[in-house]
Amino acid sequence: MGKEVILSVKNLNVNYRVYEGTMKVIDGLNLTVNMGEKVGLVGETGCGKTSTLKSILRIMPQNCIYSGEIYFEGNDMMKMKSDKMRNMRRRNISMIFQDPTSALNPVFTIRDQLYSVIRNSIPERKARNKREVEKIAEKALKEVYLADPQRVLAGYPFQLSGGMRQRVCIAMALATNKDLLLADEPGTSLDVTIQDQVLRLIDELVAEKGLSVLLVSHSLGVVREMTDRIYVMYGGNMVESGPTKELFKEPLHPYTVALLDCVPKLTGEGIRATISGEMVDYLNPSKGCRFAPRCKKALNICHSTKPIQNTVGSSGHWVACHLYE
Amino acid sequence: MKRTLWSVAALIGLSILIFSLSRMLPGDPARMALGPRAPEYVVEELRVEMRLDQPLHIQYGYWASGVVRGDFGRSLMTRRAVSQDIRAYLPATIELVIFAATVQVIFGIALGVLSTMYNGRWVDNIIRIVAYLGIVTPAFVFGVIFLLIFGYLWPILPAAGRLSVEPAITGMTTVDSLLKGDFSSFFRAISHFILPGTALAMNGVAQLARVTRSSMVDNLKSDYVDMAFSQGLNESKIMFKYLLRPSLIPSVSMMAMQFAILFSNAFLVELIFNWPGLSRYGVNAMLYKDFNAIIAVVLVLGIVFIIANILADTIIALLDPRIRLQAGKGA
Repeated sequence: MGKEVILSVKNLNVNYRVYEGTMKVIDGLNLTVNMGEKVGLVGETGCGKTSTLKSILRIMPQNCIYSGEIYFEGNDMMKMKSDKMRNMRRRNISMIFQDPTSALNPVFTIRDQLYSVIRNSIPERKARNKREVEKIAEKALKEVYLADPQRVLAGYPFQLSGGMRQRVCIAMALATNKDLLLADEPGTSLDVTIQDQVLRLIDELVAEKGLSVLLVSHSLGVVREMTDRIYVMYGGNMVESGPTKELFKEPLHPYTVALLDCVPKLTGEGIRATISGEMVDYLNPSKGCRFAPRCKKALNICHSTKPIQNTVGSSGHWVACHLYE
Repeated sequence: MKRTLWSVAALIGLSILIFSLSRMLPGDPARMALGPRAPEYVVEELRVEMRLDQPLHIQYGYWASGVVRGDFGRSLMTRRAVSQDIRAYLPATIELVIFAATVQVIFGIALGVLSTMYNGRWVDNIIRIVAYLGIVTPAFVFGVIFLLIFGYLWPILPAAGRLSVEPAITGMTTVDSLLKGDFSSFFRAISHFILPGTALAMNGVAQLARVTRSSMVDNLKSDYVDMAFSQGLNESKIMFKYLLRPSLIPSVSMMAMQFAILFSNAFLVELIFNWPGLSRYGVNAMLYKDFNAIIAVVLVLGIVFIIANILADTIIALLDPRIRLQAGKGA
């Protein structure tokens, strides 16, 4: 890969201390995003997608212990002092949250919240200029097709519809120039047509502003449309990765195959298959492949030894599975 | 508007209830007032004068028409008009309670915020343990302890009584001294508040700290706080603005209840610190079966309680636009 890397996560471990013990959620995760690239991170609910995004921004809850290296444009953010980390959040990385209803503060106006984000991420001299801030806010709201910015600004989150709230969140994330956008299942809590609009909007703005994107989703349809490259995640491990087109054409890992089989097709067959078995028990995860207990093709070695990444072909497609060793 | 009507209805209900209860109590108030050695015919005369010989609803009618004119009848204990007594004692208690409530709001919320900021660390643990102690220790115990330490072992603050400021315009020493522009007596008046006011406030400080903490810690896990952090806002702005405001709503509702509790707890504190207040007056009235005084005190406290609740609702509406704007639509 000769392309310039903007984000690279190396050997990330995320554990949560809970009453019953320690939950080993993310276990040695690696991930890179190249400059200008749109990368998808797919997996079922609870597989650690959101934890991955939050650890990139270091906004984990207190009971969380994490280690590893996260490089942004060559600097290890894990080692940064908190004020420097704060500057990264202000100027370089934005995140869009899953549920716009809970992501906006219920007791402050949109104006208050949007202005404080803008003031916080532009140079101080400009931030003191009220007209300047207002101009940026209005432009940001127009970019997300909110027709009446003044009315939106004056309102509280509960006075807006779900779709409008999500647009406001996008406007907050993209109001000032950033380099990387972390999108955590944007629009999942909205109905399908609105979700589609929201995703198209993000796609459009990202292209316009030349951002790199890490898009998290449990929906294969969404990532297929929006990304250049995909990581498939299961139970805190990366199981397969490759260029989007290739991965859909030729999925290798049994989990990826099963995941693709779950997608209902328009051929009238209804839901074709489900993945049987239960989610990973993070308190006592298996020593081998975490998918092994649910895997139909599991070998003996799968239960005892962790699979390594096996490169397939020349396009950067790899799979972590003993079947391909 | 609707609220005001309801409040009036509640007050009328309260007056009927307390009036009937006081009349149903065993024992003869006329006899109590005159003492065991008064001749029977004198007691009988007083009974007629107090209209104790008439049916209950007629007694209530006479009493209520008096109250509307500001006449609560005569106290059997002090032999003065009850309204006059209340005017003399109420300001002292109100002043004490307001002082205690202020202490509660300032220290309770500050401790709650501090506890949240050090969530799970030793500062938080100490605050939580001390808050437990604060809740289980009655106000009068604090009163006695304070009296011992600051009145006896290390007498730096006035331990008993209340400053009197002449002329008494409102009856509240701090307000009166300020109205006169006399700052030295204003500060002396404040110094008289510190011990009884703080002793009275301790329970509420502890409760408020706990409620504020738990509400803030809950909201700390919310998406909007995560989002504020992800946007790189500075921590104190998130804590004191974006987290504190939505978290204060349960604290405010609790303060309204605390306000009423303060008045009842004030009794022992007033007794210990020799504070000429309404709570002490009210309890004495109950011991003397001084009907008119009892009813008047209960009514006044009822009014105070209603005002405190309306105030709390107003503050909550200011804090939370969802309540403010939805209510606005309904009316």
